[in-house]
Amino acid sequence: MKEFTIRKIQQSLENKEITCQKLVTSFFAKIKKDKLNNFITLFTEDALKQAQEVDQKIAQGKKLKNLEGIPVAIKDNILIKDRKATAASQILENYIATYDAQVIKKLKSAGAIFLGKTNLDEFAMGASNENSYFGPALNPHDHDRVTGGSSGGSAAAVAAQHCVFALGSDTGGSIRQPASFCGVVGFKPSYGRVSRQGLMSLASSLDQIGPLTNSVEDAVLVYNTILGKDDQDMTSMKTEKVDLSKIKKLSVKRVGIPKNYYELSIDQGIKDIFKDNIEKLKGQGLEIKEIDLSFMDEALAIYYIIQSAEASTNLARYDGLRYGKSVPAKDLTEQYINSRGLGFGKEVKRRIIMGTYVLSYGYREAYYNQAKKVQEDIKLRFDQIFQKVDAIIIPTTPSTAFKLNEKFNDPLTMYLADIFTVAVNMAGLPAISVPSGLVDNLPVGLQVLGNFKEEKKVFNLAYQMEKL
Amino acid sequence: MLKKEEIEKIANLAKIKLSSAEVEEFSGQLSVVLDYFQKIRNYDFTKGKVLSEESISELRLDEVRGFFESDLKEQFSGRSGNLLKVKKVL
Repeated sequence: MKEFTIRKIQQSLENKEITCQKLVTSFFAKIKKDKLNNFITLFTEDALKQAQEVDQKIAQGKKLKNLEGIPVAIKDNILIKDRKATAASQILENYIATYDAQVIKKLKSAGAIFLGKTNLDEFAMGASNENSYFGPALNPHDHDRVTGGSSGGSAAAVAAQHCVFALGSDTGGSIRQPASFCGVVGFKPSYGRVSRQGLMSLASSLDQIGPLTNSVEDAVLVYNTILGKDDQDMTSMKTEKVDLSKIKKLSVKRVGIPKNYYELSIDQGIKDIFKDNIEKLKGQGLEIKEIDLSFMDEALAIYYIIQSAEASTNLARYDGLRYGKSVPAKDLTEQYINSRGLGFGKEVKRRIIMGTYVLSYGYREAYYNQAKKVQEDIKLRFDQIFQKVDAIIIPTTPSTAFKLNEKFNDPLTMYLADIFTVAVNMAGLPAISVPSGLVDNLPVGLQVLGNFKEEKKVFNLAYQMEKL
Repeated sequence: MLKKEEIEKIANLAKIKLSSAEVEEFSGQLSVVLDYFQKIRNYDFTKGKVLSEESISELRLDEVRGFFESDLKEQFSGRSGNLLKVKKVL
C-alpha cells in the first residue's frame, strides 16, 4: 500500500515516472475491474480533464500544490456542487448538491482530483455498508465479507487502490471501523476540528469528517488540508496545522490499555495482535498502564440513545417536498408519511422510531436526559484517565470483517460492533485506527485515542505503531 | 416490551409509513435494544467535579449572504417557475 501515499505519488508525477492521466485512468480501470460496488457515482470525464491540466502544469515545470494531482474519493453524504449526493438513500436518489461542502472547497483549492462518490450505509447509519439503497460495498480482502461502515465504500476504495485517499464521516466509528475491516488508516479528529458544513447531518453533536488513507503521514496531510474554523459551522474551532516533523520527535511515553483486556469479548486473534503490539511498544521503552475502561458498555447504550434522538430530528427535513423523492398523496401530511415511508430504508426508519421514542413524553427523562448526564460523566472519566496517560490503545473492533448478512437482521448485535469506537465520539476525542496485523488473512486495526484537541499525541503514537 | 400500538403511535409522530410487517419486526427488535439501554438506569456516577461544558460555539455577524436560492428551488418537487407548490395545508 505504501507506494500509494500522497508524497510518493506526487514525486512520481513531478519526476515524470507516470502521467496524471495514466494514474487516473488506471484507478478507474481498477474500480471497473474489481466490481466492489464501492462507488455510487464516478466523475470519469472531469477527473481526466483535470488530470490533463496537471500534466500540462508539470510539463511547464510548475510546482504542484499540496494535493494537486492526487485522486480522491468522497463519501456520498458530503456535498460536491452540481453532483449527485444520495447518502445511499432512495429519498435522495436524484438529489443534486447546490453547493460545495467546506472540506470540498479546501480539497479543491489544494488541487485534489475527485474520482467519485463512495457507497455508505444510508445516511451513515450502520456498521457494515449493508444498509445502502445501492447494495453493500464488498470487502477487497474477501468479497463475501462486509467492508464495515458506514464509510465502507471509502475504506474499500483506499484498500483496493481505487484512489490515494478518501474522506469519510465518523459519528460512532464510521471511519475507524471500516478502516480496520479493510486494512487502512482511518482518523477521526476532535469534535470541531473540521467543518461539518455540507456534510449531511446524522447526529450533529457527534459527526466529524476525517480521512481514510494508506499511511499515518497521509492522514496528517489530509487533516492539515481540511481542518479549521468555518463561520458556517458554529461548532468548528480555530485550529493550527500539525507540523509533521515535530510530531515525529514528540515523545509520547505513557500509554493506557484496558484493564483485564484478555477478559473482554474480542476474537482471540485480535487479542494476540493487541498483546504482541503492546509488548513491542514496551520493548521500545513505552510505559504501559492498565486503566479502567469498563464504561464502554454504557457508552454504547448512550450513544444509540443520543445518536438516534438527534437523527430523528435531523432527518425531519426529508419531507418529500424540498428535495428528493416525493410520493403523490391527498394532503400534506399523507405526502410526508408516504414519501418518508417509501424513501427511507429499514435501518433509517428503525433509528427514527427509536429516536422519536426516547425523546417522547414520558420517556425523555429516563432515556435521553439520563444519557446526556452519563455522557458528561464519561467525559469526566476520560479526563481523569488522561491525567495519568498520554494516549490509550484499544482494538478498533471486537472481530474482523464479518460475512455479508451475518448480522443484518439483528440490530443489537450489529450495534455491538461499535463497542470500541463510540466512547470516543461521546467525549469528542480524536482517534485513529492503524492497520496492525492479520487474522486469517483479514486485517485488524488498533486504535489510538487521545484527549480532546491532542491530535499531536495521537499521531505520534500512531507513527510508532505503524513502524512496529 | 414495545407493543405494536406504541410503534404505530411513534411512527405517526415521526411521520413515517410502516408496513404491518415492519411494525411487527420493529416491535421485537426495538424491545431488545431498549432492554440494552436499561444499563444506564443505575449508572454509577463518578464522584468528581463535573466538567463545565466547554462552549466552542461563536455567533457570526447577522448579515445577509446569498444562499443559492435558485439552485435550491430547482430541487423542489412541485415547482412551476418561482411558485413552490405544496398540498393544501388547511
